[in-house]
Amino acid sequence: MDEGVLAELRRCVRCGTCMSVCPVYEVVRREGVSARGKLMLIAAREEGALGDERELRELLSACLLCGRCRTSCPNEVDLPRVVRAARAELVERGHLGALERWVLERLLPSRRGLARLAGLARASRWVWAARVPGDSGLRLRFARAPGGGRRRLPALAPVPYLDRPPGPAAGPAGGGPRVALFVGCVSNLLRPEAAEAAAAALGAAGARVEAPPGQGCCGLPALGAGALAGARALARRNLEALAPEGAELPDAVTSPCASCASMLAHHLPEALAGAPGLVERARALAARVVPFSVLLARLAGLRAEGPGRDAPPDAPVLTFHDPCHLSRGFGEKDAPRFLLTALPGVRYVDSAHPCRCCGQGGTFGLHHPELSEALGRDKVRRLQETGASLVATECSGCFLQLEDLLARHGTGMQVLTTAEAWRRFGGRGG
Amino acid sequence: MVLERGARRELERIVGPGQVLADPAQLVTYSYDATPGAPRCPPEAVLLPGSSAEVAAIIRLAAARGTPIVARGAGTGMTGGARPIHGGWVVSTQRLDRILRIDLDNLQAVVQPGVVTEHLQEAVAAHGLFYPVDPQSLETCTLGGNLAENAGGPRAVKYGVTRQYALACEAALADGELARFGARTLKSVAGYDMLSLLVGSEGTLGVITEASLRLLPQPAARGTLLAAFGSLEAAAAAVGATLRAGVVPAAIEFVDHFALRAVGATAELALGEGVQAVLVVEVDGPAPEVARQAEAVRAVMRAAGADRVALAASPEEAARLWRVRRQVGPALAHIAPHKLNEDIVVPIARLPEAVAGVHRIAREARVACACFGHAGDGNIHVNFLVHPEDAEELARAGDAVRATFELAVALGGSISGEHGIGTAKQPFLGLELGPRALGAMRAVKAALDPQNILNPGKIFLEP
Repeated sequence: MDEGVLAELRRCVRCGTCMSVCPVYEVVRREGVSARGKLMLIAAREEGALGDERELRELLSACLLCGRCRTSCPNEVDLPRVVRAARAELVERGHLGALERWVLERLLPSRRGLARLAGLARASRWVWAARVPGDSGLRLRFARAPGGGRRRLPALAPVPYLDRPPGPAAGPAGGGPRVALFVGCVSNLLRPEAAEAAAAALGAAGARVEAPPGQGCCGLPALGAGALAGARALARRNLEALAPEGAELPDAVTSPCASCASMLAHHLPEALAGAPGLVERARALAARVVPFSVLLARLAGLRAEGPGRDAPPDAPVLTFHDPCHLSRGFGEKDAPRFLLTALPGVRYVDSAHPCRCCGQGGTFGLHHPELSEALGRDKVRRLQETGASLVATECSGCFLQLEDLLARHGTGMQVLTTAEAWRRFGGRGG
Repeated sequence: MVLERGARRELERIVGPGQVLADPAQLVTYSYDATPGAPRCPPEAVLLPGSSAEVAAIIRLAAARGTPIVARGAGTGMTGGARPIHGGWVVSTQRLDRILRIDLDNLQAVVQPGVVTEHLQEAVAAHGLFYPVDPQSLETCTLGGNLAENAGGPRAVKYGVTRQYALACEAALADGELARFGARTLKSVAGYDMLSLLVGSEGTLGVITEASLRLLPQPAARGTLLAAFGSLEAAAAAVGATLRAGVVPAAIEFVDHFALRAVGATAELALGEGVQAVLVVEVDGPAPEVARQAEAVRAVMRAAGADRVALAASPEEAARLWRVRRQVGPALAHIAPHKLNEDIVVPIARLPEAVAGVHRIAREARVACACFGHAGDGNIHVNFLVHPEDAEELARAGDAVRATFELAVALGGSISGEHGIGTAKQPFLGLELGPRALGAMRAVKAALDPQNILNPGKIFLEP
C-alpha cells in the first residue's frame, strides 16, 4: 500500500468513535464491520498476520464508503480511502469474480457499456435472472432484494441524452460562465430528463452549458470496488472529454449526480496516479468541479433559505435526501435547501437524519442485499415520517435506491433530482 | 490456539452457529481495545450470546475446559481490560443491547450490558430523566463496560461515577452460575456489598449480564463558563475555591496550554498568548439557580486570578466549548500516537501541587507533557508525548510515569481515577496498595475464581 494510505492507518488511535456513526455497525454490531475493525484488519494484513483472505474480503465489502466515520473521527482518518486501496489490492490478487471484473473493467469503461448492460436487462429479464449468477457484477447497480423478489430494473430511455443532437445552446449567447455538464450513466441512459433539467436550470440562471461528447461513466463504482484498471480507463476518457490537452478549461464542471461530481473532484488524480502527464491536468479539472446545487444556488444568487418551510400546509410536501457524496464528500448541506425552500407553492420538510446513507453504497448492495435493504427500510421510514409526497436527491445511486425502495414499500412517494424539482416547481434566479 | 471442533460444536449449540466467530480475520477485530500502543492479541473465539443463560452456559463450558473468558463491551477501555492476553474466548455483549425497562415510578432502568451509554441517556431523557455518568466515549461505550471499569466522566464532581448508579445486577460467576447482587432500592445492607465488588472488577470476578441503574430527574437548565488563567496553579486552585464557595458545579474541566494548542483551541476560543490553562465549568439545576451559580462561579474565578471569564451565551456556544474539551484526548493522540496517558486523581486541595509536580517531572525527564481532565474531582489526565522510535526518550518517559504515580500517592491520591488497572498499570498497583491490601484482593479473586479463568492476567501482576 502506498505511504499515504499507510499514514491514514497509523492515525487511528482505536478510540472507537467511528462505531457510534457507522450505519452498517448499527445493524450488524460486530467489530469487524466498524471503521476501527477494518483499519486494524488491514494493519494486521500489512504485517502479514492474516493468512486466508476470504473473510477479509467479506468484511471489506461491508462498507458503504459513506464517509460518516471520517467526518466524526477526531483524527480524520480517511477510511473510505483505505478501504478502496485495500479492495484494489484484493482485486490485484485475484479476489474479484470474473464477471464482476468484466463489468467493472471492460463493460462500464466501454463506450456503450452500460447501455448494453441495461438493454440486455430490459430485453430479457428472465435471461438476466436465469443466466447471471447472484454474485455477479452484472447486478452492480441492480441488487437483488431479499426474499427472492427481483429488484425492479429501470426502463431505458429511447435515446441516451448524450446521443441526442445538441439542442439550441442553453443560456445566453456570449456572456455567462461556461459550464461543462458531466451527465453520468443514470442521467444519460435511464433518465435524460434529469440532465435536461440540470442544463435548463443552469442556462436559465445565466450559464453557457454544454455536455462535452466522449464522456462516459464517472468510474466511481469501479474505484470503490477496487477495480483500478477500469477506474483508470474511465478517468482518462473523462479527462480527455472534459479537459482536452491544450483546450481552455470550462469555468465550472458540474453534474446532476453528486457522486459523479465527487469522483471528478476528489478521486480523478488518485485514479490517474502513475500517469504523470495526466495527473496535473486532472488536478486542474478537479479544482473546477462544483456540485450542481452549489453552482445553481450561486448563479441564482441564493445565499439563504427561502420561505418554503413555512408554506401553507395544503401545498405539496417536498423533502431532501442528502447523498453521502454531497453532504460529506463536498461537506455541502445548505445549497440544496437554499434551492428547495425557494420553490413557490411547495412546502419543504426535513426528515430525521437526512444525511444518513440510503444503503446503496456502490457495490455494497451487491454483496450485502439484506443489509442494504435494512438500511433502506430505515431511510424509507424517516422519509415517510415527513408526510412528503416528493423526495429530491442529487445522486444517481441514491436515486435508483430510493426509487426502488419507495415503490416496493408502496409509499406512493416520488423521487426526483434537485434540478427536476427546480424545473417542475418554477425555481427562479434571485 | 485454534478453536477445537468439539468446543466449537458445543459453543454453537449454546449461542447458535452464526454467533461463534473463529475466522482469523474476525478474531483480529477483537484483539485490542483503546489502550494506546498495546499489541494485538487475538482470542481463540469470539462469542456473541443473546441472553444471560447463554453467557452462563459459555462460562460453564469454559470452566470445564479451563479456558480464559474475557468479557467485552465496545472495546473503548484505556488500560487493556478487554485485551485477551491469554487467548481464550471473548464474550461480546454486542447482542445484549436491550433496555429492558424504564421504571418511571421508581426512577430506575433495567438494562442489558451491551446497551450503549448514550442510548440509555437518550431513552431516559425522553421521559425527563437523567443518567448522568458521561465517560469520554459515551457514544460508543457500553454500560456493562462502564460497570466493569467503574467509569467516570466530567460530571463526577456533582453526580459521582458509575458505582453511584448501580443498584443491583445479575452476573455470571466463574462456575457458570447466575447470581443477583444488590437490591432495587436506594439502600440495602443485606450482607456483603458484593455489587460494589463487581463494579470496577474489570471482568475478573464475574460477567455482568443485567443491571438496574438509578436515574435522576433531568436538570431544567444548564450554564457553561470558560475561565482562562495565566498560571497553571491558579487554575488548579480555583477548583477548590469554587466548591468552598458553596457551589457544586456538574463539571469542572481543566485543559493546560499544551493541550489547548493541540486542538487549535487557542484560536477557536480566542485565547490570549499568556493563557496557561482554562477551566470549563458547567452548572445545572432550575433556571434561576443556574443563573445564580454561574454568577457565583464567575466571581470565584475572578478572585482566583482568572484573566477572563465568559458565560456561553447559547447552547450552541456551550456545545462548542465541550467539543473543544472532548477533542483534546484524541487530538493529542494524533500529535503523539504513542502518548503515555495516565489518569491520576488527588484530593482537590492538592491539585495545584499535582499539576505543578507533573510538569516538573516532565521537565526533568525532558519529555513533552500535556494535562487535561476532570479537575473538579481531582482527576487529571497526564499525557507524556513520546516518539516510539526514540528508545532513550521512551525510557525517560517511563520513569516520568512512575514518578507521576508516586506523586499522586504521596499527595494522598490514586494511580487511577477512572481507567482501571488492566494490563497497563499493573506494575504500579503496589505503589498505592500495601502488601496486605493486595493480598486481600488476591484472596477475593482466588475465592470467587479458583481456576483463574475470568479475565486472567489483569489488575494483578502475574507471578
